[in-house]
Amino acid sequence: VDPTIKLTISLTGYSGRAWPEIKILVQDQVIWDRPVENQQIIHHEFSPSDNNSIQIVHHNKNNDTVVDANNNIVQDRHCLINYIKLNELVFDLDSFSRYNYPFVAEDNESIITNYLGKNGTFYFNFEYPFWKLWYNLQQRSVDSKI
Amino acid sequence: MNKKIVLVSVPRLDPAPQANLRFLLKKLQDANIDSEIFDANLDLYKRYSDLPSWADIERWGIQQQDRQNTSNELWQELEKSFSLWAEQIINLHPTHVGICVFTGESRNWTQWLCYHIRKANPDIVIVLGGKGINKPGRPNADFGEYCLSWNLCDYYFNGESELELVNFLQDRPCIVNNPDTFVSFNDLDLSDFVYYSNDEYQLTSKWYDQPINVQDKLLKTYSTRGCVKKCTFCDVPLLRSNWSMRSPQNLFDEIRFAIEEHNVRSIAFTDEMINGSNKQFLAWLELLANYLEKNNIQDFQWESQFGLKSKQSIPTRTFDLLDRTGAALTIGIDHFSNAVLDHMEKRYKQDDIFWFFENANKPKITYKILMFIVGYPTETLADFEIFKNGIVELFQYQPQIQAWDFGQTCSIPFGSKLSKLENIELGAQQVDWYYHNNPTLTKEERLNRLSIIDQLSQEHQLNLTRAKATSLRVESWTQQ
Repeated sequence: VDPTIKLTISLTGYSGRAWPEIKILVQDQVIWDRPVENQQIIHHEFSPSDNNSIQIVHHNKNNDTVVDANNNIVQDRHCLINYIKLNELVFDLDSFSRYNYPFVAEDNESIITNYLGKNGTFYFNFEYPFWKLWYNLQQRSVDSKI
Repeated sequence: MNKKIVLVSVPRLDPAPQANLRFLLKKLQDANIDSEIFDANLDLYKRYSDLPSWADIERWGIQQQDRQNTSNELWQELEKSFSLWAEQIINLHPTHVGICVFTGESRNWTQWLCYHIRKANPDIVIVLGGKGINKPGRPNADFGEYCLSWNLCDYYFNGESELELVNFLQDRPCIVNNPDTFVSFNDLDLSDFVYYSNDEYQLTSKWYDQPINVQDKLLKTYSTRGCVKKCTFCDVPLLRSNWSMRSPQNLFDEIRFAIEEHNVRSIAFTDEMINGSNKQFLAWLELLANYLEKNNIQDFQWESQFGLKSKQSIPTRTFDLLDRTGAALTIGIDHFSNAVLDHMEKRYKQDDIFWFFENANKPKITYKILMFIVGYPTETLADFEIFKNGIVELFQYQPQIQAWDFGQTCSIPFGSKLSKLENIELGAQQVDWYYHNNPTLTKEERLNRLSIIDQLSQEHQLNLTRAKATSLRVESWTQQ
């Protein structure tokens, strides 16, 4: 039996005049669609398939950045992806360009970042065999300790 | 339990045994560590390079396609290779497997080979090294971290691993799994010979994609590491700040050994700049030229990347020695506009280029590849006209020129001098940038200039090196 994936996503929202609205899709199904106020931890369980795709979409960015009299940015609506966790497998995205997962903005610019400062989609896709191998090795390690 | 490491060369590289792995093997064997090489790259060439599926296999690696975008037929072929290699590697009974991820194009091959080795025998320790560990042009080891996260490897070396791998296998302190800093060793002793067997010498000739004139046996080795130039668009200075060369005598000894013991007549250097030091370079050429003449060896040739310099910086006797030793040079000429050359910090002018070609017009000097950059950020239309005229000017030397390379328009490695240019905007890929100070040079305009050069190449029947691969890359980034 294929192991169920316990997905955890940690996000931090920063408001301009409103909080960033984030939609999360797992295997093309929407599992979350609402504003991210401060820190949010999102949990979801799913069965892996060949198409293991996680998309994090920022979709309400507009020109509401708050600036002071000297044009310095005081508040800017954006969202940070802190980490993505698959069971105990943690991808710490809060370290710039540690991995190669892209954020593709609406204007098609593709950047390696966890900073969703524009409207666009962060893609985290993974190969099913890699997940299964990781899981089996993890189980093997747990079993050997028992 | 005694340790044994199998060093693996993964696709896709030139079809020749890798000198760097040979060098590493020698370091390991000197330290009495049981080790051998498994060459998956050559095996792939042997099995597929003549088949129609070869183009798809190339595309899969170069574009790093995921399984979703791979046809079932192709995937079955690839899986067959991975399983076979994993089985063959495991049959060598290693405790460790060291995979050389030579470039970004080796990543797809590496991750699936790791997967198959792991699946077949999870107890083997998998260690990764090579430049493909890093994000291109950056010190960050993103691929190393990725493989580590998915448990596809146990350790990775970010940087030069020749000394560190020996330390690692001897349980001494060493730098592993270090994501942020590319480790290089300025005092690395490059003096070890790169020994091949007779069979391997034959293989190099058989599978080398652009064989130089002599079809006998090829020694692939190196004399230097790094580059003395600090060109604005280049990532070599980012990864290795200094330049070093083997002693002329030591290098000559290796070549004499290869000639006398294996009847080698061709040398391919993997150097980035063989002539960083005129003094050492000419001393080596003198030794070689005298030896070849004394022994009446006529059919000898060597090839390497060669750094063009100003006429004041190239002693005139260089040309005579290049001719007497049969030099096949790969040169990054890059441009003909003095304004662009100055901005690139090439330290030579258009006059110097033509002076070089005029003096190098000798029977036994050839050019393996001439490399150019189309669409440098500061390139104006006037610069581009100068560039085109410069190319045309070189047509008179066409009999000496084996291949031309016009790249995929200028790419800007992250962290390079160009990437720090004021008003430059960088995208995710190195070719994806916009320079606000030269607003008419859009992505479309760069491709337009490249297509003008392509057309010129076709009209004059220029031989373009790796043209297919280059067009694949252009196709890949224009589709975004």
